[in-house]
Amino acid sequence: MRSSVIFVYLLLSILCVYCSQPKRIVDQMYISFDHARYCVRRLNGTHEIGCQSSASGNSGRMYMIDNDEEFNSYLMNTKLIDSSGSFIIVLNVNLFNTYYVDKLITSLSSKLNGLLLYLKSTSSRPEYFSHDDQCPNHRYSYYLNQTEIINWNSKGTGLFFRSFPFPIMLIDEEDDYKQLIKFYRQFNYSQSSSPTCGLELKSFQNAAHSSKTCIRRNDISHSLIDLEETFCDPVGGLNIYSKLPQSFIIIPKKRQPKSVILILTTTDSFQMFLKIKGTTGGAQQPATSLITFLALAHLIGQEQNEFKQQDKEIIFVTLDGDALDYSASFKFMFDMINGSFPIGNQNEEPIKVEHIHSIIEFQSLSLTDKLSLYTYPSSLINQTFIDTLVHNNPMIIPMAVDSSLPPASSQIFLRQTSSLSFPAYILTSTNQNQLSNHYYHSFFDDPSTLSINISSLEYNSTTEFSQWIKNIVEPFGQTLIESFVGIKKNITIKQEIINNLVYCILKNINCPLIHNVTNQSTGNSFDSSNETSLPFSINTYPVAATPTFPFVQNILSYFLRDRIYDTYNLNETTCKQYSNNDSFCSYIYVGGYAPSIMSEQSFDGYCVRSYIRSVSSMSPAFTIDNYDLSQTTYPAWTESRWTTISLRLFVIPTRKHEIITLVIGILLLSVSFIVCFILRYYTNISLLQPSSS
Amino acid sequence: MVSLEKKSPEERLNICRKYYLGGFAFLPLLWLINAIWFYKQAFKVEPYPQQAQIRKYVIRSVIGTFIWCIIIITWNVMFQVFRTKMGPIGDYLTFVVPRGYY
Repeated sequence: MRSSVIFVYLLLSILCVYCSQPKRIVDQMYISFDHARYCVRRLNGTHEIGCQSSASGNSGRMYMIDNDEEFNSYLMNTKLIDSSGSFIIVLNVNLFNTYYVDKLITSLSSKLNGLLLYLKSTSSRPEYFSHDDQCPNHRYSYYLNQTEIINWNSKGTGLFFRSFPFPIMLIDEEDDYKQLIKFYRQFNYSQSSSPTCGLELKSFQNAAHSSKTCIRRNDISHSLIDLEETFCDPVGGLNIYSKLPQSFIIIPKKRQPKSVILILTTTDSFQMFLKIKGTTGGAQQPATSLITFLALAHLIGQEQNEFKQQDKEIIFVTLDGDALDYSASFKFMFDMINGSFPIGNQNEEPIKVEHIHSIIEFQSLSLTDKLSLYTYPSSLINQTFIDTLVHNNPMIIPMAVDSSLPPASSQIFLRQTSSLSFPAYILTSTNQNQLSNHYYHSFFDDPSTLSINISSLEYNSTTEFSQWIKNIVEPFGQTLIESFVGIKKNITIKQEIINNLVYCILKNINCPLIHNVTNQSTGNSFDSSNETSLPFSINTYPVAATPTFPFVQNILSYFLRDRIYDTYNLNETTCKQYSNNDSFCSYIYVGGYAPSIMSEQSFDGYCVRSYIRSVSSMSPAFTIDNYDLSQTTYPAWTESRWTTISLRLFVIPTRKHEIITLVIGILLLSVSFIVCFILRYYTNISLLQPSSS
Repeated sequence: MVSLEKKSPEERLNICRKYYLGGFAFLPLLWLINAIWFYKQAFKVEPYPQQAQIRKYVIRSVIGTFIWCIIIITWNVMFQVFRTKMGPIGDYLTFVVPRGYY
C-alpha cells in the first residue's frame, strides 16, 4: 500500500518536471516582432495626423506586395480580396508614397486594416524617403510671406501630415524581415483553402480630434474618480542660450540698440516611424548644424579676449520644437517682445527687438561642396559682412537678394518683426532650390549619409565630415572677428575637438567629452544612454528624460566659459563659495576637457564659470490664458500618449479547421455536463450539505 | 421576502401608496416595481375594498414609468448623437471620456 503511494507520487513529480514546458501557449501561437517602428498620432489646433489602431489591435490576413507588378495583380485579384474580411498589407518601403497608399485605400476601403512596411536590408534603402511636405513648414500662415513658394523638399510625400484610420508600422531590421518572409512563404501558397498568415498591429493612441479637444479633456476630472487621465502632451523642449564672459555682468548703463547678435540652430527633428531605443535620424538636419554651432561656440570662446575689445554681445541660442510649425521660434520671439529675454535677473535690462543687430542661422547643412547663404531683407543686410564671409570661405555662395528663404527659424524671427528690425543670414546646403537632404525628417537620415562609417568611428577619428566642419567653422569665426572686432586673424580649432563632438553626437553620447565637462552627478546621468546617439525627435512637455538638453547645456556653457579660470587651481569648496555669491553665472567643478584648455599647467579639477539659461520652448498657445487653440496665431502641436505597441504574426486556420475546433469544443462541453450529471446521480457525496455527525 | 398574501389589505394599500409616493422623488424604478408587483393584486385577485385604490396607484405608476422611459430614451439618443456637436459641453457632461476617439 505504502510503496504504491510512493510510486504514484514519484511518477507524478517526474511527469510534472518533464511535461511542464516553460513556454506558455500564447507564445507558441504568436511570433512577436519587438523591434518594429510605429507611427503615432499627433494633433494641432484643428486636425489630427498620424495613425490609430483599435484598442485590442488591428488584425487581418497578411499579403505581401514587393513591387509594382505584384501591386497591380493584387488589386485586380477580386477573388483574393473577397476571401477575407480584413487585410494587413505588407508593403516594400520603396512603394510607400501617395500613389500606392491612396490606391490601396480606395480599392480596399474598410478592408485595409493596417500597413506594414519592410526594408529588405540596410543597403537597399530607397534613394529618397521623406514624408514631410514638399514645402516644409508651410502649412498654416506661420511662415514668412514671400514672393514665391519653392518646393525645397520636392520628393517629400506629405504622408506624415495625413490621418490614417489604421496603424502603420515599419520593420527595418534584416532578421525581422527574414523571419517574416520565411513564414509568409511557408503558409501563403494558395489563395483559399490552406492556412494563411495573419498579422496583428497594436498602436492605440489616446488622443483624438484636435489639440483643443485633447487639452480640454486632459483637464476634465470628475471628483468621484481621482485619476486624471492625460491624453496628450504639448510639443516643446528647452530653448538654451549662452554667451561670452565679457557680458557676464548685469549691464548698469542702458543697453545700446543693435548690440546683440544671435546665432541660432535647432535641436529637434521628427520621424514618421518611431522606435523605442532606436535611431532617430537627424544626422544631416539638425546634427550637422548643431556640431557646426558648437564648434563655432568653442572657436569664439577660444578667442574671447579678442571679442572683449568690442561691445556687441554674441548670444548662442538652440531652439527645440521648430520642426513642427516653428513653435520654439514663436516662443522665443514671444518672450523677447514681452521682455522676458534673457531670464534670470530682474535687474537686467531685457533684450528687445531694437537691441538685435542681426541673426545668423545654421540650418539643414549636409556634406556638400557648396553652401548657400540666404539673406533677408535686402534693405538691412550688411554687404561687407557677406563679402568677407565669401572671401574667407569660397564654398559659400550668396543667393540672390530677396530670394525666398528655405525652411528656417529665422523666418519667424523676421515675421514677428515684419522684417523691419534686423537682417537674417542663413547658411544651408541647398542646390538649385532643393535641400540636399534626401531623407529630410526621416529616420534614414543617419551618419551613413555623411560618409561616416559609424561602426568603425572612434572617439578621435578624423573623418571627411569632421574636416569639412573645420573648414566651415574656421573661416566663419574669422569673419566674425573681422566684422565685429576689426582685425584680420587666422584662427584655428583643434581637429580633435570636432572629432570628439562628432563621436558624441552621432555615435555615443556617453563619451569622455561629456564626462570632462560635467560634475560627477550630471555625468552619471548619461550612463543610462550608453551606446546611443543624441536623440533628435519631437520632445513634449513635461520634458522627458532625454539627454539632449543636459548635453547641449553643459557643452555650450563649457565652450563659452570664462577661460581665465583655467589658470586658477581651485578646489570644489571654493567653487561652491563662488557659486553662492554669484547668482548670475553658474560655477561648476569639473574634471576639465584637455583639448580645450590652452594653459600649460593642468590641474585635477577646474572651476568653470559660465552663463547658461534654459527656457521652456512650448508654443505660447499653451501658456497664454484663455487662448483658443483652434486659432492660428500660434502653433498648437501636441503628441498623443500611448501604452503598448506590438506587432505579432499568427496563423489563420482554414475554414474547415475552425469548424472542427468549434465542434470539438461543443462536444467536450456537452460530454463534461453529462459526466458531471452521471457522477452526481450515482454518488452519495454532496459537498454542499454539512456532514451529519 | 415580503409576501403580500400574508399581509392585511390595509398593509398592502400602505405599501402600494408608499411606492407610489416615493416614485415622485425622481425614482421611476419604484413606479416600475410598484406596477409589476401589485399588478396581480390590482387586477387578478378577487375584489376587496382597498383594491380600487391599489388599482388607481398601479395605473398611475405605469403612466409615470412610461413618461420617464420617454424622457430617458430621448436624452440618451440626443446625447449620443449630439455629444461631439455640442462642443465643450459634450465633454464636460461625459463621465468616462473616450480614449482615442472623438
